[in-house]
Amino acid sequence: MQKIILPVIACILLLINNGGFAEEVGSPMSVKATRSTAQDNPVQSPQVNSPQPFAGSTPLLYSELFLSGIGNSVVGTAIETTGTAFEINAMKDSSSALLRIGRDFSFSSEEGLAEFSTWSITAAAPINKKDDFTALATWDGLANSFRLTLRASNFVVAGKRNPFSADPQELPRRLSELCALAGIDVDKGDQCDTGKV
Amino acid sequence: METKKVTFTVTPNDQVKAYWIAVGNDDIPLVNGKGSINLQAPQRHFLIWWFVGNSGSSLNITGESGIDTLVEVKNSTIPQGEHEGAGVKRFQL
Repeated sequence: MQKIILPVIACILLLINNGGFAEEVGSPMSVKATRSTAQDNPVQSPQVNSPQPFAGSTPLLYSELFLSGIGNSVVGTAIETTGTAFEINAMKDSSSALLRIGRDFSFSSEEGLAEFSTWSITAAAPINKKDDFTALATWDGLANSFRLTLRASNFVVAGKRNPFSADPQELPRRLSELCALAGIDVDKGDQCDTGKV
Repeated sequence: METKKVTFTVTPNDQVKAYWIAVGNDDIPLVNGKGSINLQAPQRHFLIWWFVGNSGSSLNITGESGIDTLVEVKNSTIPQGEHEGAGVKRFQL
């Protein structure tokens, strides 16, 4: 077998990805997985190094309860992909076949310090429009005009505050009051967030 | 009291840049938006979430134990003019 065709690569990546979520779309040349979200617009970060990141008219008190300055410390490049798990995109009407795999990690390393990191690997090659399959690589080497892109980012924020740090079982009084003022009864299981308060 | 494993899934929209969740004061590490924690039952718990992105960014969260959906956060949104969002929701296990 001289050529490695896209469906074979798709199967391999699905195995590697361990629980990836592929969804068939369109023609036999088209396989696309969901949850791939390339970002065209890098995050607007006017809050970086801003002394008053919550100086706007929106829920200042509510934000203070949860966030004591997220965005004051941002390290690394702008995140251009989030939630990317796996993507193969090769449609006959497009000019190139795209194959992408990636991961993102969300964790808090210590009190008030939270990290969000992503990585992805993207391989692309021109579509062979004369044939029903496109080779990204052969045993002789990579396809002509093959492109390989590695992308990684690390987003670090300081100031994430957990209002439950005193008692994880009890809703803090101040938070309860703010939600109640917005007509939200958290004790009944209603959702209370910055978009509603 | 027994413990139950609860798995949380975060589904952000395209404009969300980073997100974190916790139950009570226990942070939950997430890989590709999924993470699990063992919680005591029967007991009430609080899910807390934080996220960063452009104004109008939103995310959904579900917490499941086996086939039971314990908690759902729908369309939590960053307000206009802001770049951070957070919220809380109680659930019973």
